[in-house]
Amino acid sequence: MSSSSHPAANVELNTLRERVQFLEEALDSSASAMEVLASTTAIFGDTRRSRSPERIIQNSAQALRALLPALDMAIYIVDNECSFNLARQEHPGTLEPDLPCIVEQLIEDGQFAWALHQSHAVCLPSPVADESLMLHVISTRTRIRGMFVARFRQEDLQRYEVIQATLTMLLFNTAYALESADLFQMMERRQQALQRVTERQSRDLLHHMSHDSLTDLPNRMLFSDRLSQAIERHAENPDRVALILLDLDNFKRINDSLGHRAGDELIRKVAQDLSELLDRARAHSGGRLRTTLSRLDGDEFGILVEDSQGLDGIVRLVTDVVRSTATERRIFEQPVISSVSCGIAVYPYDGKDADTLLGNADVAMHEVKQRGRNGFRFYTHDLHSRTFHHFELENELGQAIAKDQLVLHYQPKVALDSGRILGAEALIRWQHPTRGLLLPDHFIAVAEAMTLIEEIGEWVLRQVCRDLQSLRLPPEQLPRIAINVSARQLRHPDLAGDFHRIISEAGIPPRCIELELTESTIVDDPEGALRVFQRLRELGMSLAVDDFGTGHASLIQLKQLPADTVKIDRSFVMDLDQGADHSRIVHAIILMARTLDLDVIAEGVETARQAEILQELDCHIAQGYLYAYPVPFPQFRDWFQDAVTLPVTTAGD
Amino acid sequence: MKTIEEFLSKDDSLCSFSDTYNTIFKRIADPSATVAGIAEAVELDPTIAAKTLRMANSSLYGFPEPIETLHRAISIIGLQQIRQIVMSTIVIQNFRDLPVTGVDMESFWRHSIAVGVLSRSIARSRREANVERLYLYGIMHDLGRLLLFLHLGPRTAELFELREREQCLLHAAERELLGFDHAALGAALLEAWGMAPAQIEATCYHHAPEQASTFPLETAIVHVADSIAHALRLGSSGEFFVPPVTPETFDRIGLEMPIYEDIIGQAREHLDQMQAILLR
Repeated sequence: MSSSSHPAANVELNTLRERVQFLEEALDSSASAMEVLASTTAIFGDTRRSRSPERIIQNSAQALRALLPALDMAIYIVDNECSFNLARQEHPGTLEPDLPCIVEQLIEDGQFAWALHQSHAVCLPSPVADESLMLHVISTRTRIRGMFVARFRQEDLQRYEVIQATLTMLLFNTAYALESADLFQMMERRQQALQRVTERQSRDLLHHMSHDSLTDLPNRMLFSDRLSQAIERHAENPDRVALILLDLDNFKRINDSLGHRAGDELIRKVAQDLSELLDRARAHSGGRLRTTLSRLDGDEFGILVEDSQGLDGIVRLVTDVVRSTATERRIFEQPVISSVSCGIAVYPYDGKDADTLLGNADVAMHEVKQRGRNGFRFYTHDLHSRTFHHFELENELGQAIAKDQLVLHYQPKVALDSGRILGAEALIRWQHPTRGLLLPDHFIAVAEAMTLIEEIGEWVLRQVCRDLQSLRLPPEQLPRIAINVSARQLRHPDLAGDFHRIISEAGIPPRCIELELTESTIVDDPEGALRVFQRLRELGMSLAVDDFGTGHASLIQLKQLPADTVKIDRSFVMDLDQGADHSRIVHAIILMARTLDLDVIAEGVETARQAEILQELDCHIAQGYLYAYPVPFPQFRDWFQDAVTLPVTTAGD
Repeated sequence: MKTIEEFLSKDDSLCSFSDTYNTIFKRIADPSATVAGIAEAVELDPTIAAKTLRMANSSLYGFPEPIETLHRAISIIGLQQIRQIVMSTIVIQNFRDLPVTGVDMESFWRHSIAVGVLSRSIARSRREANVERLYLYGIMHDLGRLLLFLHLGPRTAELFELREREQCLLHAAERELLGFDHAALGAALLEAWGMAPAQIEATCYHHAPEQASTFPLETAIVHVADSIAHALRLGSSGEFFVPPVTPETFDRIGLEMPIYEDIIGQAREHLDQMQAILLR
């Protein structure tokens, strides 16, 4: 039985064949659709790499190509102004009219807008015969993100129906991917904003920590840091980095007299002037110069200078700084003049690290202060060794009393005629652990600067008392011991009271203690000297004017002083045997002393001839190497107790 | 007491369509059908063809240009979409003149169209791909009741008396009287017709959406649309009270409340037009 003999059966058969063919095609299409669906995760902007809209559209177009073999396809994306922009076209300019032109027309007659509101694919007639347009909105549940447009042959319309569901899902995924890309971008922007805010705040905090609040200049911390950096930068180049330490002269006085607010204002103005000066210097240097100005502390500024041409420029700069800073400024309507003192340390000569450079610049600056301020000075090693020595001494001297390193040596005072010991001058010595026995010249100045002198003075008096006690003699037989009183001790308001208490406690009669004060001390502070002398005199102690003839005391001053003795300075005594001219001065001193009813003692007698002349000039007491060097107390005690006669002029050499 | 099967088997003619409708149904249901093929099939019944074209030109679709041919209408609205439209048109056409007591047919179909339009609107707001699906589900959701009234005949009064006595919802009264309600009956009918499982489930559980296990979303949409149509008195299927909406279904649909205002506004706008096209 042939099929051709049954037309009805033939029609049925054809229909069935068509259907099978269709189903096969549909199956094929579904298989590829499933593949595309499986790969739609690639569309999602869920990794950092695929988070950009361009990337998502690209992925999406790739999937669409696999799904729809259309003649041309385009993706339109909504921008923030709600207008549709062509984001991608598969085959631009290949078919007439071009797809975007067709879309223009659809937009114009409202079909585009209509299609936007259908959530499935819509097929619209194309201006080209035998072609159809497929439009599908790209949207999430809540927001339209764009439109997919494809053109294809009329006869293919049916094939595309099958994959419509897949198309819808794919474009839905695309819309969500765009949405999440937007969210990621927003999150990123927020994160960036947050980061900016955090950075700004930490910058502010850092600025706050590294800058001085009054002048807004870098503070010591930042300055040290910059200094270290500069040292690193120029590790190989000497003469390129210098540190200028700058201190306002007499700032404390200005602060005290005009008030702290004025002081602050002055600091601020000086900082401003310095900043401007450095700015100008930098501008004129043509990039050669780098500077950092810092307020280190109080009225102290630091300038870090890096000059690629070496020290000359640095000297010019500091000269400029000193000259232009010492100017009159108006602070709260008051004219204020403040000069500066600058100390300079240069890398690497004056230090290889920031701390050393800062320390040495400080030494140099203080040297300028001591030399009368308003100037600058480079640090030198000599400066350092002196300062360092001073510093070391200070430290050790502070402990010397506690460590029992101070000792007294006694130099006998001798009657010129008999050689008999009348008394002694107690002289302080420091038995230094490493440097041996130190004479007062080496440490008294340090002690005075440190106010240790009062403590040392007291120790000396107590030691003298202890030594006198150890003689175990009735008070009337005790020798008179002279001790030296310094200018600084004189300023002590109750020096006399303290001394009196000490000797009373020791049971030593006041007449056994003689206080020696140099003539220059008396000249510097005549009122103080007079006050103390009068008081000590009342208490029964005797007083001597030391180094007489060198201090330019006036006769009036001498007359007013309740002194008992003058000691002729060794410089006059030394020259006594050099001829008559020299003895005249000594003679004059002796005459004057006699006139004022004062005893006379000659210091530094070294030769028999000197002793002889002194006797001829009516001086009866002497001390000096001719008779005895200063000796430890046991030696002096033996001499005194044995009543030895020390060499007299007649003994001959 | 009759079982659902007995109801369905009692009068086969009332549960089936005319030959022409059956042919159209078959041909548009064929997945290999082309635009031309479907247009041809729809044109088998000039009334259906005219109504379909009028539907395509209605505000429901809002196409900016007049659509003059069925062919064009099908390609614009889409092959899948057109199936549901034609089907719902045929269903209304087929059942509109049934001699049913106990319910005003005009009112019944107005309610059904309202639920169809509302369901479509909700689906559209959710940007569902094929919203005509939900339109069809809405239109057919109460078919079971029509069948029920048809077969109960004079006993329909019994049902209303029971409802009056118990002051309950009509579907509860149905269950009390018959052991099943119109939803179950309608679902059975759709199953017999070979309709999509989603439509069967949405119909079956449109009064108990929490029981829909496979298509909870579709069921929830019909459930909410039904309730809205009742609340707005958009026609009536004989129900006197407003069936309450279970809160979970709103969550399931996931739309914000203000959106329902728009949905209702749109539905009112479309409803009169739809009624004019489909019931006249």
